[in-house]
Formats: sequence, C-alpha cells, structure tokens
Amino acid sequence: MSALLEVDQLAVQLPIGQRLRPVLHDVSFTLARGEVLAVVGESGSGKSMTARAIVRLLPPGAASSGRVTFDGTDVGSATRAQLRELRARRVGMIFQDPRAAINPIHRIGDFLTEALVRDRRMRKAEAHERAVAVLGEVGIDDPGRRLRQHPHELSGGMLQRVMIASVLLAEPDLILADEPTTALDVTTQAEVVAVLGDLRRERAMAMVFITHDLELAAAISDRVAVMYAGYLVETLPAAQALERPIHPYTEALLRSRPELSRRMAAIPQIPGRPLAAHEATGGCPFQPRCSYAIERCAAERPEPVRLGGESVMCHRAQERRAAGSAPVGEGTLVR
Amino acid sequence: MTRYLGRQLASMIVLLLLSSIVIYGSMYLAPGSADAVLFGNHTVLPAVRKAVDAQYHLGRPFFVQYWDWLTAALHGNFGLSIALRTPVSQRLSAAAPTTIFLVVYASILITVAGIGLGVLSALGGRKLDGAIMALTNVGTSVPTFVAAIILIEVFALDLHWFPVLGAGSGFFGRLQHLTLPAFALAAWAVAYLTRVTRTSMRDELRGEHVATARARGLSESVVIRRHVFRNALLPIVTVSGLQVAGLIAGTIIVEQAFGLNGLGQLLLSAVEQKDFATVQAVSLVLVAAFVIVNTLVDIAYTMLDPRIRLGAREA
Amino acid sequence: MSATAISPVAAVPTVRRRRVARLHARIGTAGMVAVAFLAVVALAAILAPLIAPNPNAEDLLNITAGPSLGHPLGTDELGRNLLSRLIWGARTSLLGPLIVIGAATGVAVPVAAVAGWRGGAVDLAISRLLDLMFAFPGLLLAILVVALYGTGLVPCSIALAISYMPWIARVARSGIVRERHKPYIAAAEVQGVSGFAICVRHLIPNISSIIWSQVTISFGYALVDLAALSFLGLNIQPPTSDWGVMVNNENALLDGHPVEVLYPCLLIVLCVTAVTYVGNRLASEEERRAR
Repeated sequence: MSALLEVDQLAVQLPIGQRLRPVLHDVSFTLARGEVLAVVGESGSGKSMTARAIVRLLPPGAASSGRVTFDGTDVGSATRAQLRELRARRVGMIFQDPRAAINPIHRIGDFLTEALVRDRRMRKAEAHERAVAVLGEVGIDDPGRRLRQHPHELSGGMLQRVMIASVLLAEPDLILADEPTTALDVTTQAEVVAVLGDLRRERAMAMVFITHDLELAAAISDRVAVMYAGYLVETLPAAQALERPIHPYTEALLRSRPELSRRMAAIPQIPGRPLAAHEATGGCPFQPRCSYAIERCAAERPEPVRLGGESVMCHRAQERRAAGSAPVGEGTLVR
Repeated sequence: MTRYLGRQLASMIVLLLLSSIVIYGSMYLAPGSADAVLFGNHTVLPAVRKAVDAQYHLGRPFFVQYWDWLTAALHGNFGLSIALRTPVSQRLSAAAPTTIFLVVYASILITVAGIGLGVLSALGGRKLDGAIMALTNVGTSVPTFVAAIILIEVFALDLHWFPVLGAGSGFFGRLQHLTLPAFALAAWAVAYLTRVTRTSMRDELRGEHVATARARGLSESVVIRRHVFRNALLPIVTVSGLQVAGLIAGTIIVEQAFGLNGLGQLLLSAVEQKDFATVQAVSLVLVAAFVIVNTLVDIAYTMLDPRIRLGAREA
Repeated sequence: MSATAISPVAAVPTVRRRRVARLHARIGTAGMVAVAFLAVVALAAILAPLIAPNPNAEDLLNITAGPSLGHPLGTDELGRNLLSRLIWGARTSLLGPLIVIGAATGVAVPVAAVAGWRGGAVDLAISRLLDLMFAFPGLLLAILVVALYGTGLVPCSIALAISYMPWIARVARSGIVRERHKPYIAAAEVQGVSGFAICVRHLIPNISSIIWSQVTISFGYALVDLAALSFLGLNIQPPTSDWGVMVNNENALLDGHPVEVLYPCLLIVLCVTAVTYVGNRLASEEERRAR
C-alpha cells in the first residue's frame, strides 16, 4: 500500500526582520493510511511549521522547498481549488489553543456546520443533526444547547472537543493535531487525548500528533519523530522511543522528564539552551549540547541514516545502536 | 439583554436631562439677570414680554421653571424667538431638513468610503495600501473648515461643477447643493475610519481563528467576510458611530462655510441676534441627537459582540 | 540616531544636547523636523512686533497685489501685508490652544490623581462626571458660552478647556491607576509618605510622558477648534489678525483672490500635522515601552 503522506526534503524559510530565515531543514518522513506519527520537540523546533506546511498554511512571505505528496497529489503545485478541496475534505487540523482558534463571534453550531453548509451545500437541518451527533461522540452532553452557545461559554477542554468534533465532521483521511492539549488543564488533557485517539481509531484516520511530551507521544502513536532546531533528528517506532532511543537528543529528552516513582534531588536538564533553526551552523545542530559529541560533529552535519525501522541523524548512530545505547535512568549524561 | 437595554436607556435619559439642565441653567450663569439674557438688547412690546414671561415663569423656583420649559419643549414648544417674533419651533422646523439631509449624506459617505477604503487597504497590495494611507494622512490633517474652503475653491469656483452657496430644493437640487458640504463634513472622518478599519482588519487577519477557517478549506470570500470582516466590525462600528455623532457639531462649521440655512446657521444667527430662546432650543436638539446617536452606537456594539451581550460588561 | 542631523544645536551645553538626542530617539528625524517647524512658527509669533510691520496697515494703492519686496506674500483686499498678518496671526492662533490645554491639564491632572489615588467611590464619581462631560460636544459648549458672555478668546478658551479636560483626565487617570499598584508606591506608603507627596513626587512624574503625548495631540485639536470658532466669527474678531479670521473671508474666494485664505489654511494644516505627528510618535513610543 502506498503511503498516504510523503514529505520529502521539506524546507521552510520565514521572513524574520528583514531577512528570510530557515525554520525547517530538509524534513522527510512518510505516513501510511491509518497510521499515527507523533512529532516531538521543544518549542521552536519546527513541529508546528511541519504540520502547517503539509496543507500549505504558511505565514505570508514564507518560502518553502521540497515536496509534500498527499495521496499521490503534489500539494506544492496544487491549484487554489485543489488546495481548498484538500483542506476541506482530506486533511483536518486541530490547533493548540481552541480559544484563539475558534472564532469567538459565532455560535458553536455555526462553527461546526459552517463548512458543511457553505462548502458542501448540505441542508442546515441535516448539518445540525450531524453536529449534534458528533458532539455527543466527543463527550459533550446536551449538545443541542451547546450548539446555541458562544465559545466563551465553554471551558477550554470543552472547546477542544468542539474543535475535534469539527474535524471529525469533515471525515478527513488525515488529522494534523498541533499540540491539542498544551493549553488545557492537566486533568482535561488526558480526556481530550483519549477522545481524539478513540474516535480516530474507529474511523481509521491517520494522524500527525504534535507534542513536546515524549511519553504522551509514545503512548498515542505508532511512530515518533523527534525534531530539533528545524531538523528531524530521529524517527523511531513508538515502542522503542521510551526504551532505547539512539539519538543523543532523544535520550536527553527522556532523561529530563521527572520520574514519578521516586523522589529526585533535581530534575536533570539538558545543558545549554535550545538552538533556533536559523542559528544552526555547519555541524550537527545538537553538537553544542551533546555529551557524546566528537570532533566530526562540529565540522560536518550528519545525514539521516536508516537503521532497521529507524532513521537517525547522528554520526555515532551505528556505534550507539551496537552498544544498545546508554541505559536510561542512570544520569550519566546530565546533571 | 433587556436589563442591559434598560440600563443604557436609563443612562441616556439621565444624560439628556443633565445636558438640558446645563442648557437651561446656563442663562443664570450669564452676567446680568435671566431677563436680560432672554431679551438681549431687544426692545420688546409688553405683549411679547408677557408671552415670554408666561413661557419661562421667571419668578418661580429654578426647577419649576426648568420643568415647565422642558415639558413644553418636549411638546414641540420652544417659546418665542425674541429676534423674529415667531415661535422658535417654526425656525427649527424650517432649518432642520437641510441639516438632516447633510448629516445623513455625510454619514453614508463616512461608512461607505471609510469602511470600503479601509478594507481595500488591508487586503490590497502594498502599493494600494500605501496610496490609501497617504490619502488618509492628508485627510486627517485637514480640518473641516479648510476642507470646505478647498472644495469651494476647486470644485465650485474653478471647475464650476457644483454651486457655491445655498441648500437647493427638491431631492436632486439638495443632492447637488449639498454634495460639496457633505464631502467637507465627511472628509476627516472618512480618513480616520479608513485607518481604524485597516488596523482592525489586519489584527483579525493575523488571528488564529482565520488560520482555522483557512485550514478547513473555506473559500477566501467566506474567510474574509465571516471571520475577518465580521470580527473587525466591533471597533469599526464604534468609531463610525462616534464620527457620525461628531458630525452633529461639525455641521455648524460646514453650514457657515457653504451658507446653508440649517440648524447650525440658525444657532449662529441666534447667537448674533442675542436670541437666547433659539440658542437653547437648537443646543438642546443638537445635544439630544449627539447623546442618542452615542447610545445607539453603544447598543449596536453590544449586539455585535456575544461576549458583552451576555452581561460580561458588569465587571 | 545621528546628532549631526540637528547641527544648529551643536553649540549648546551638553546637557541640553543630550536632551535633544533623547527627544530625537523618541520621535525620529521627521518628528525633529516637525518640532523645528513649530519652533520657527512660535519664534515668529513671539518676535512679531520686532520682525513684522503693522498687520492692519492698509496700503490702498496695492490691494490684492502679488508678492513684492515690501509685501513678500502680497496683500489682501484692503492692501494689508499678508505675511505680516500671518505672523501676527500666529500669536493668537498659538496662544489660544496654549491657554486651553494649559487650563485643561491644570485641572485634569489633579482630578485624575485624586480619582486614581483614592479609588472606590471617589473614583467612580469622578469617572461618571467625566463621562457626563463627554456627552457635551466642545464646539456646542463654546457657542453656548459665547451666547452668554459674548465673543472673544477668553470665553472660547474657557469653554474648550472645559471640554478638553475629561480627555486629558481620562488618560492621566488610567496611567495613575496602572502606576498606583506598583511596589515602589507601596514601599513609599509603608514608609509613611503622605498620599499627596506620593502623587506629586512619584505618580505624576512617572506618568508625565503619557500626559505629554495626550497634551500634544490635544493641542492640535484645540488649535483647529479655536480656528474653527474664529472662522464662525465667535472667537477672535476682525480686524485682529488670526488664522481662523483670515480663513473666514469667503469674499476673497468669490473675488478670485484665494491666496489670502489659502495661506492661513496651509499654516493651520502644517501646524496641526506637525503637532499631531509628534504627539502620535510620543504615544506609540509610550505604548511600546508599556509592553
């Protein structure tokens, strides 16, 4: 079966100040139908930009290169009409902050049925019926009343469910979820993730799930892609992400999460500060903060290498894999 | 909602009452007696004096006088014009049509041109935007009376496209005569509203909800109409309302410049003729219009924003 | 940010030069040009008796004359020197808004300080009163006052000062409310400094730049309003020379001699543009700093 989504050497530059600055470097990955890819990274690592570039939703003045192919069609050369068709029916997007992403002026019902009524020429009553049904599915009670309310009358978690419902209504093949739980309370986060995961699975929709939480990523996805400073540094099966990652950055991410099972004197941190994508020099972008760095790392940028089910962008990938990489939890890398 | 409307209406009535007290009471602040203010330097026949006394009850306590004056005014009776020996209401109703036509004409210009240019500026290319912004820079630095002078000089005296003076008669006669005055009256407000519209549109264009609308594949026209313009409308409505309310004072200047016999001109000539009953009447009408338009704007604003509509304003 | 752009001040003491540089940093080169223009106009107004001949001298042999050595901008319909009338006119045209804004600020700032400092019912009462004052258009108030007290600069200025007061007070009050809750004010209060002293020594100086930008912008509006009142025949009376009075001369337009009307128009527009530009720059600078 051919891939649903193929991203090949995608690079994006944004106008910052007077100059175009790169925010994404040569990102490549594929996604099969029904598959879930989690994209993990710190803020500014290019996760959101990757998702937006898939549907060509880039800020004005942005430049991009590389190729995004969705179900056989090249998104980069799509006409306006094709692009709208793609966004309306094939790919749905869930944003980070539902309060900002849902127009505060219109009623929830208008928001949900807008695309169906205006674009698909569905009768209002039918669209309304569907909206009620899908709101019930995402776990909102009394949907009929909710449809008449405005966004400010709903909680953040509720609004994100509305956002998910709006994407489900469009019945797309792919959902792009851009940190859908970051803006929510911890307690509602889990519920929203569960709703999204379950309903997606029922409908066999593929998903790109963006998060900065490696554990959440591993839990929800089939594969995990790790981004750093605009580079995709590692792609690996979800099961492996928490066990034996190969890239030192992934390993460091794993170590810097607080463990719940025992009391720690200090939460380990990755030394140094994250690099902005445009600050990357000729070498490996992670080299300045990497405790495994060798001379070559500063001089030469590693190319992604395939190792079994993985793709890793590290000069020492082979030897680290052979060594089984360092056992996690010992704290040798960081203080 | 009803409670909100009730409160708006109540505060409007309070404002109207207080301004009318100021207008009526001001004649007691003048040097000399109220008598002297009312009669000015006119020599009056005993019969006229009697009529004025009956209107103003000058001997009675202030609030009794005021109340009688106000209730009479509300019934359309503004007393006697000392200068012309005619009822003030007659002078008012003779002057009002010109002013109303002028203000409505200018209001239409303001909303259509101001919002239109602002939207063009926000959505158009860099060159169009630059041109419109340059235009508004000029517009906001030209006072109404200067705009009037320039329009008279260029379009009436040089090009002879429009008459110089007078208000014309009949709808088309008025339209022709009042076009230059309406443009002069609207110019500043158009420029200002254009800027407000542009800024507001641009702010909304950057909004995340617009990205959502685009990500859902909605057509660009729906995105602009329902998610950009509709949201941008809040400040636009407020500002256009304030500008329209401002026209009510601006009309005095334009009527003077173009020699139009409207309410503003009536007010000025009443001042000159020391005809205080007429001054009070015209002031009352103009202030009332100003307060009412402002209240309508407040209500319109509330209707447009669901967040305020549901009483979030109490805070 | 080159200090060379303003070379005429190169000779003044360094303190003042630093002040000029700081102003330059805030309002930009265009703003400095605007300030320089206003300074020239103000200087001309102050020095009018020294540099300009009697603006009311009628040279009846030279009416509506074009520019000449004796009359650099020509003469008006009564043969009066136009340049001289413009220079003398600057005196009343600039003095008026100075009185209006000075009086309005003088009342507005203490009122705002009381409202912002005391808060609660006092604040509410003052805010309501200001709201009420907004409901009365300034021009109309001026006309009412003129109807009672007669025409002239004083009644017009008083009326406009009353109607400008709430604008300045509102801006000052919001600045004081914002500043009031900062720790240094609490620190002063704990030390037992009186409310009056805190207002005068800390609060008002700290919001002075906000007040200045509002005062500058208001000055432009007051200039226009006073000129408009002159134009309506309510403020300065002819033959005293004033820009608004000069504009109120439609006969000159009808007689085909528009320059004597257009020159004062131009000066009003230039002054307002310059003042408003500087005021807006100060305001946006203030906004930027607040963020």
